[in-house]
Amino acid sequence: MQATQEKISITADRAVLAEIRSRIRTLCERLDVRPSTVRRVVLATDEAVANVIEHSRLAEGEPIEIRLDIRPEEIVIEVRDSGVVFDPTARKSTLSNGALGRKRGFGLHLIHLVTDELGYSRTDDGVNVLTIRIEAQ
Amino acid sequence: MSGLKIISEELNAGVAYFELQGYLDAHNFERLEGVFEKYFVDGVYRFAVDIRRVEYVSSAGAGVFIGAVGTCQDNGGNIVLVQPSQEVKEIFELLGVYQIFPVVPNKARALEFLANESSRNLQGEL
Repeated sequence: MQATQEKISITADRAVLAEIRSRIRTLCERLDVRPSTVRRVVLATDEAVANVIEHSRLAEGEPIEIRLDIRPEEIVIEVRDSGVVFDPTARKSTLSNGALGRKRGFGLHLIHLVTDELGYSRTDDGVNVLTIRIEAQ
Repeated sequence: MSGLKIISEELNAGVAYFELQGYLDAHNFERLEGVFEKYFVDGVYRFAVDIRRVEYVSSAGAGVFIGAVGTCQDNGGNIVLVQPSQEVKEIFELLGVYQIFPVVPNKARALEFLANESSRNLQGEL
């Protein structure tokens, strides 16, 4: 498999989530990434972008950039936005016993479960960079 | 286009059947949440939900089921899932909630399960 990099630019609108999933799935399948890894990449990216849209306070239509670095041994995803500081790695991700009846707040937990490494940084020019690393299975 | 088709019907007193097609994510989960809430207002707390044609569920989508099953069980009901796909099953398993839901292979078995559960609840009240 040849290492491939792809950049997807979208607007902060939940309606684009399906298109992101479709593009990532198509790209990974074209590169023969194993289905179980594709599912993890799609899920982690979908949840990360949904989190940005919900928590970053970006105005609808403001840009979010997704960078994918697909290599035989791993896939690294970067989600970049210019919203307020939001560090998902600093949030507790466990589910409490009181999950039953709760409706929201499972996304971060899922991201932690399907990723091998999760990192966050804020650039000097005010861009949140969430880095997700998933080892190819 | 929301990517989610919901066919819902109340079959008999207190039991509703949903057939879902498409995907359930952070964009459209509120539609399904709204359908559950409409039935709750009418006192319906027993559901058979056919999700064999649901290709993807995000945490927001799973959250609808987790929230709704809590309300159902608090009111003597339940949500029975019909044939979740492997992908959807994996999400529920990752969240550690798959075992909360009875899972059956078809609509008839789902209705049978709900009828039996209703009888058990009634016997418990007597």
